[in-house]
Amino acid sequence: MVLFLFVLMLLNLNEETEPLKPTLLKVMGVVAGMCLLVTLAGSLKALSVSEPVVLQNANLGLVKNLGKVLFNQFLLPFEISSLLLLSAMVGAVLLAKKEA
Amino acid sequence: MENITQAIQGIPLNHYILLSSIIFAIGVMGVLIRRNAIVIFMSVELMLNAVNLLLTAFSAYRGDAAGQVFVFFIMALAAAEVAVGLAIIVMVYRNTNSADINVLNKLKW
Repeated sequence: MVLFLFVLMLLNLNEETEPLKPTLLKVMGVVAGMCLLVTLAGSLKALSVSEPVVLQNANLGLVKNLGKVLFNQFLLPFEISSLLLLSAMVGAVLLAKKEA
Repeated sequence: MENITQAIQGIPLNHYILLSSIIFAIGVMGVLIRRNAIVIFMSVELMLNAVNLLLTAFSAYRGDAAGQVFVFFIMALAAAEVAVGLAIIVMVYRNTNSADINVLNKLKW
């Protein structure tokens, strides 16, 4: 989110430069989004179970518990995500450099 | 305080799913109707966060911590995606002086 704010500040966008889509496209977009919402809500209605979400295990979301799961069961994906972040960082630096 | 905790514990699972669906739909609509690349990125982020919310709700519902670990991975992925995407947007802005995605239609040729 901080990154977003920085870029917004950097790009100096204002209302005159704000690109707008034609109204027809906007209406179509809203209709499509509403269709998606109605479909999801309709399929939700077909689902009859609606029990309250009760934490059976009170310390499920604690850092200790999550860390245990993260570093035992998901150790390999965790390490691979570090690779992903590194490559993203390198890519971002390469792209953002003035004369790449 | 006790009252709030009680009220939160009584929320049915369906309400969480409905809230996530609404947030996701708002994200989809944002992608469809806006032309500013940065706003589109924010909408994509909104969709990812809707899924995060749903994963967390299901994780609490099932009593399985794996769902919340997935949320960590999604967050890492979102960070990587935003870093590269914003770099691309900044580059496009430098070359065309606007964050409009329609200037990218020249990529078609």
